[in-house]
Amino acid sequence: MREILILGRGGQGAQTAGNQLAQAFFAKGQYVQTFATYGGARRGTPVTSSIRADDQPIRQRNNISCATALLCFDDSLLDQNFLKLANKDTVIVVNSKQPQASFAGLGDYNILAVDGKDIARRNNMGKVVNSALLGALVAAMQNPDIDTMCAVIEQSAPAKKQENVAACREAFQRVTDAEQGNQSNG
Amino acid sequence: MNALSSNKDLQLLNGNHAVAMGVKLANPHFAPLYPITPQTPILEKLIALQSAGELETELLTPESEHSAMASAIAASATGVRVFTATSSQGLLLMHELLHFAAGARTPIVMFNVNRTPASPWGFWPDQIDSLSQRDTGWVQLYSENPQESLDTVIQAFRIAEAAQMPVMVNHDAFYVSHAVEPVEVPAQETVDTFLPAYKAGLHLDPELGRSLGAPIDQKSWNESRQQMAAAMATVGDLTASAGQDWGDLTGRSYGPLEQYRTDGADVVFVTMGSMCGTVREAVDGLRARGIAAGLLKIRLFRPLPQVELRKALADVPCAIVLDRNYSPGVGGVVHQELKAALFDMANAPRLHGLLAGVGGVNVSAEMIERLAVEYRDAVASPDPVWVEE
Amino acid sequence: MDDMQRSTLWTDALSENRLTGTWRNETPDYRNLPSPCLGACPVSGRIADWIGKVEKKDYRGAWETLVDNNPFPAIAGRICHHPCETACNRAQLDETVSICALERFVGDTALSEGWAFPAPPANAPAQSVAIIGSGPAGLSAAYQLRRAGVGVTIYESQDQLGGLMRYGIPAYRLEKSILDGEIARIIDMGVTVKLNTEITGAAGLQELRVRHDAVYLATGASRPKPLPGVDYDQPWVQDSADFLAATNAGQDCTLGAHVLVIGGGSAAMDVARTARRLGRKVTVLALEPEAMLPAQRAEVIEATEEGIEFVTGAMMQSAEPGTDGLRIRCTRVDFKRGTTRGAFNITPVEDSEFTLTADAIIPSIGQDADLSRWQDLLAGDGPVLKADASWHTGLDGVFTGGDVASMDRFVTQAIGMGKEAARSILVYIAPDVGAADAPADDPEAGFSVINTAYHPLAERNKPQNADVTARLGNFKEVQQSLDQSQAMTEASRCFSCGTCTYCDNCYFYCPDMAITKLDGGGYEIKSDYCKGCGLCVAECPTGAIRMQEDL
Repeated sequence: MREILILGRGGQGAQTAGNQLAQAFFAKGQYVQTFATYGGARRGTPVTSSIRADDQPIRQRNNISCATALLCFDDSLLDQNFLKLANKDTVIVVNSKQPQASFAGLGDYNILAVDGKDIARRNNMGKVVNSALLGALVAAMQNPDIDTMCAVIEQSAPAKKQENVAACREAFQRVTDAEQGNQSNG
Repeated sequence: MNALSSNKDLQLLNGNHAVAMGVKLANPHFAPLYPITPQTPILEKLIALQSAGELETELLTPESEHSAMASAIAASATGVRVFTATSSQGLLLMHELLHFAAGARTPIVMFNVNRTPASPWGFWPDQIDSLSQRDTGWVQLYSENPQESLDTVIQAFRIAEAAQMPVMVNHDAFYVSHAVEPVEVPAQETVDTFLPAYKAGLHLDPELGRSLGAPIDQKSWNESRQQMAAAMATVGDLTASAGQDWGDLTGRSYGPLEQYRTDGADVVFVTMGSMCGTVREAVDGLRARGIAAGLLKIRLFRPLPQVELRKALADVPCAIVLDRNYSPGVGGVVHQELKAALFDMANAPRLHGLLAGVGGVNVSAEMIERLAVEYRDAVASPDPVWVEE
Repeated sequence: MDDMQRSTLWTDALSENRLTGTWRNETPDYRNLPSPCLGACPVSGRIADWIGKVEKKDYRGAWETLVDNNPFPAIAGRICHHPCETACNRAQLDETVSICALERFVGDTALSEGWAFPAPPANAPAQSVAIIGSGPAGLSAAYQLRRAGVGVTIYESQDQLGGLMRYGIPAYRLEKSILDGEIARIIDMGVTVKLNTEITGAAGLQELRVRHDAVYLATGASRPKPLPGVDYDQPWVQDSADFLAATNAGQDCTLGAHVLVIGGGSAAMDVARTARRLGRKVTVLALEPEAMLPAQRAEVIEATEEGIEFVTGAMMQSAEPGTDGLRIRCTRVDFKRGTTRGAFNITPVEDSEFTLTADAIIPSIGQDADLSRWQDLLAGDGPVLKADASWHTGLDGVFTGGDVASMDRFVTQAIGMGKEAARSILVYIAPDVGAADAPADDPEAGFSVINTAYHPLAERNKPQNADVTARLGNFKEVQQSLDQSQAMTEASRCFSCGTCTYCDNCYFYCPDMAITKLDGGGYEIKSDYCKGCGLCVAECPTGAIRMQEDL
């Protein structure tokens, strides 16, 4: 079972991204479950979206305690509190202008920094980064495939469908290229 | 990979939207609704369905939950099918009228999203809101997941209308109300077969010249409670047959209780609501480790199926109640209820009452496995024990 | 299941323990109580009833209820002093209901629709009554007697019917076509009319008494009260009644450019406003201070609007012609109302003399009844004829009413007196037929019995007046009618005090289903089930139910 956590600030679209990611897994025939913190959630406060996906029906109804993947909408949120929910195998994607190396101090984690804002801007999406970050995340997880992810985004985005899809694909491509670069270098 | 390819008509719905879809299929005449977190998505979805022309129900948004229940009672007394939904503070505001609805024998179906009552303020899963209404005369059912919530709300109308008792269906805030999962929405014809249009017996009608619930003498009031007792005595069987018939139509059967891998179990967890799912994971994990664990899920809490509970726990060495609720000064409500149900039973299990998940704190499968190991051979205390991760 | 529940939950279960009627010590009583407007109404009109019909757009029904007591709704709707509106309970919530304007609406509707009174019963007793005088009292009596099938002959000294309504009230307050229409409807019932026939004295009265089964004497008060110290033979003095009769008949006015009207009553206002319409400058001189003028308030306001000057709290002492008009010496007075209607005391204020100028004087200080004609035959009671409570004079078979018999000098008072006298006459000439019901002694439905929760605040629809500039130079009616939608909303403002409107509130609120709706309207209390809680009374919007102690 995949257990994925998306951390953002209220209003950034972490919950929407969680739903879209669940839909993409569901479209690929997986059982899914997703829920987001609510109630006390206000614009700007940290919001967590949890996604489970599995070949088997998902029965457990509790918090994710060790994620297979983490997506962080804002590098200021990526701290030890959040990293407690990860281990060294967890795929961690963080939206940041900072170079990859600047996260080395956080510990022995597999952190991938993506400049989601840059990609969003380049695709006429302003500060709306969720589609770009989803592209980066599915690239890093290598699941679900980018076409399915883009199809879900196109279907569910309330506006700027093509721009959202383009941002998703560009981020996917950047991460895929970088990983291939790492592999060839390594 | 395509695990779901054989399933038809699955939709991704959160628990509350699943409830709304169930209500739509049950097609009540009238639904007074007042919004409250985390129930509001039920209200929103019903209004959206009505706006889209997919729901014929007359919706009313009165000024409080008290008025919502008052109008539900009045409408139900006129002989029509009535639905309402609420949570926590809203349910507690209705308290006075919950007694009234049951006493007036109005077969209202209400969905309650279990949430911590203030104070302090919170929005988290905890069942004390509805458990504290256990003496009002409402039938109470607890649902584990969005699919069961949809299925149960439909069955609830059949139970309510057959027993002429109001039915409250509950699911946990957050883990069910706001969790999106694949849900099969049955066809309208399936539901129509299962739940024909409501034909009321005695009801309010200006042409009939009778009124409801006027003052009476002591003996008649006493008699009214005996009549409610007789009605409650039918609810267990009605729940079983409704769950069975539903299973015949949809492949998903339900009963007052559910036993999961309890055969030959040394330790059986007893709980209600969303935690049952996590316990299933733990039971599988324990069994894989060679520990004979099982789950006894209580779906029908009022009337409490005492005979079935005694049967299910006879000769089980150890039972552990996981209560996601706390009655101050006593402990977990399910623990207390179970102690009473098993009273004077020769082959009763050692019964542990663990306060797990009160206020919505996380209870993981790993924690449950650890509790099994810790308590299965321990001497049972009559007092509750607070446990945490 | 149903049978079991029935015994504990439903009130139609016929078990002994449900006979909540045994708890009762008071029982609701449906009784229409007199509304305050009815109590105040000079003709005892059932105002709540007919307004209720207006609200239901049953104008014909409203008119029929109105003319039960008053054959002149279009006239009364224009000139009644409407004490009903002063008494109206609604004034205690927001503003009084425009009852008078509504009456005009119904009366005008009847005229424009051409509604007629039904033909009198054919099997009427072959009796006849002589009526002397065709003012409001005489015509009202004629109408009520004719309705009962009695033959009626009216003896009128003038050449047209109407008395004061024709000769005393200017057309800008009461259009002649309205007057003609409502009088013609009465005459059409088969009333014999003798115009230009003055019954001049006791002998003539005796003769009528012999020829008819009864006589109704309603000659009004047509003799002007002389103003002491004024020489009525002077060309610059004209009596008010003569002035109004002449101008109402369309004759030219010969008085000078500035007229001083002396008096503060309605007649004085009529004189002043008529003179103003004839292009005169007008000053009113009255004994009373402005706030105590006996004229209706609206008349004073409208006169002022029309440019009439008021000199109040003052008295004329002498008038002398000078080189350029009259020099009128006046003094301020201290005015004190007396204990009886119309009585007063004045004390001149020392050193307060002043002088007015004018070209003519019209004294208008009231009119007296001419009682001298009937000397030796009919006794007087001060300025009016003496009569008992049934309007019977001391002379057998001779009844009286109106201004000749009362100091309550309002048109609608006279109409009410005519109605009362007609009833007495019916009893007199045919005791078996005419006996009237004993008056009920029910208490009035006061404001406290109205449940105002059912009566939201609503602005009064007041009749509008024609613009001042449009009023002068002609005799067109000043007060305008309510239109149909105004009349409907105004009618809906009526509380229907004390009158059941069949709203079914009692039926729905009764917690014991102890009220049965009767076929054809009305309700009945089931005494086995009524526990006397009084909820029906509390929820009655109009106060038409009351609790009566069980004895």
